[in-house]
Amino acid sequence: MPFLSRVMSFWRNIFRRRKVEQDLNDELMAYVEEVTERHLRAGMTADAAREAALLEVGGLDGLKQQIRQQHIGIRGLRKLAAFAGVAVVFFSAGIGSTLAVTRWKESRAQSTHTETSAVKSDASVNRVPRYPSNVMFYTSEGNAFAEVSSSIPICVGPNCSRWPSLEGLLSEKKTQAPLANVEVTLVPAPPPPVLPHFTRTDEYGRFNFNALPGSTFRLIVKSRGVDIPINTRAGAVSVAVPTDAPYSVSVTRKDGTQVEGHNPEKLKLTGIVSFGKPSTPGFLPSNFRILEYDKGTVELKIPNQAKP
Amino acid sequence: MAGTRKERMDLLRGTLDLLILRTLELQPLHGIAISDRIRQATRGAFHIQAGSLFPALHRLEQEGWIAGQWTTNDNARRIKSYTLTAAGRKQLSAEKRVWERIVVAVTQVLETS
Repeated sequence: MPFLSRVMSFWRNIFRRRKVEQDLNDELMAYVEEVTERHLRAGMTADAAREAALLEVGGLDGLKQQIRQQHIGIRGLRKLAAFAGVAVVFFSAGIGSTLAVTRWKESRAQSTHTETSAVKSDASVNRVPRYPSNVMFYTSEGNAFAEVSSSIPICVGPNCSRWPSLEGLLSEKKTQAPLANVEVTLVPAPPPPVLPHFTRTDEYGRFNFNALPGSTFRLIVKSRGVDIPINTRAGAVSVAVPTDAPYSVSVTRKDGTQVEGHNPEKLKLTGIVSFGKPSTPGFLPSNFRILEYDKGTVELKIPNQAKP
Repeated sequence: MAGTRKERMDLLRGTLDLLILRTLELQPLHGIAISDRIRQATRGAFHIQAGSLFPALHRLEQEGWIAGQWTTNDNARRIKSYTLTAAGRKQLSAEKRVWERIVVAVTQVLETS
């Protein structure tokens, strides 16, 4: 029965691959757990310990991918020549990790250069915000609801945030009840140069990631180790800017109307919330937030500014 | 941190296999224990991080020089420990010879005035 045996071997293959994947995961997780426990014994908090362990591993997904590719690579090369083994050995030993580090550095360097000007947030595509070297993320659809906002690293002064951050609110989709104490992870995609970020929601379902390198992330929510599929709504763009430079904000609503302003008082748009201390008239406060719940585009124009 | 990691990397290039094979020659060990043992043996000169350790282990396993076995530890966690195979023993002595030649050659260069 050739057909049946082919089907059987197909399934065997799939199961084998799953097994290999499971083994790889268990092996690396054992390492992460052990390092985490050591940090805990050294007096770190649980979150810090885990984060430090993951930092040491340098991105689990990236490492897995490296090992997977290596499996494929070696199998292929074996067919070629006997010497290939040795050549690959030295090559892959150094390159994988150094490459990851340099690329990570590069992406850091890029985001410090940014003094760019336009941020678009289109609520209808579940992405906040589009920005050259900013944090982007995507999620799957599901029963939980994440309301997220992202901050943009336009500030070059010493007192403001250079790094994108992501904050949000998790709630149950139907009841709107906050999801407290669930594990929230940002998994970088593509994996190698960027590390995953972990946090937990507080009692109100709030979470917050700071100092993210510019990359695309997948937002994953876990409760007691089980994935909760989530929906996101592009809620807000929050920006940290220096107080001594003029900025303008324009918001395009779904119906095409535009609102523009040079300080929060002039922006009489419902959905725009500002926080932070008011500063010199005509200037934005050091911290403000735009909330636009109509599906539309929020555009923030920030003029290029001189570096200090 | 990135900088120091790169330095370690360069230091290790080519010697990592040798260190792992030698460590497993003494007894079977799992990932982090291998790294610990190497660190102890080199008095902290080599701290092999997961990013280079695991790719190396999987590569050596694929070459057939080491073999992984699954066991469970006290916390009922699955642990993969590695044993040196007969082929690995052979490879180890070959790499030792290569290493000795490198040491001799480099020393000669350094001592040439």
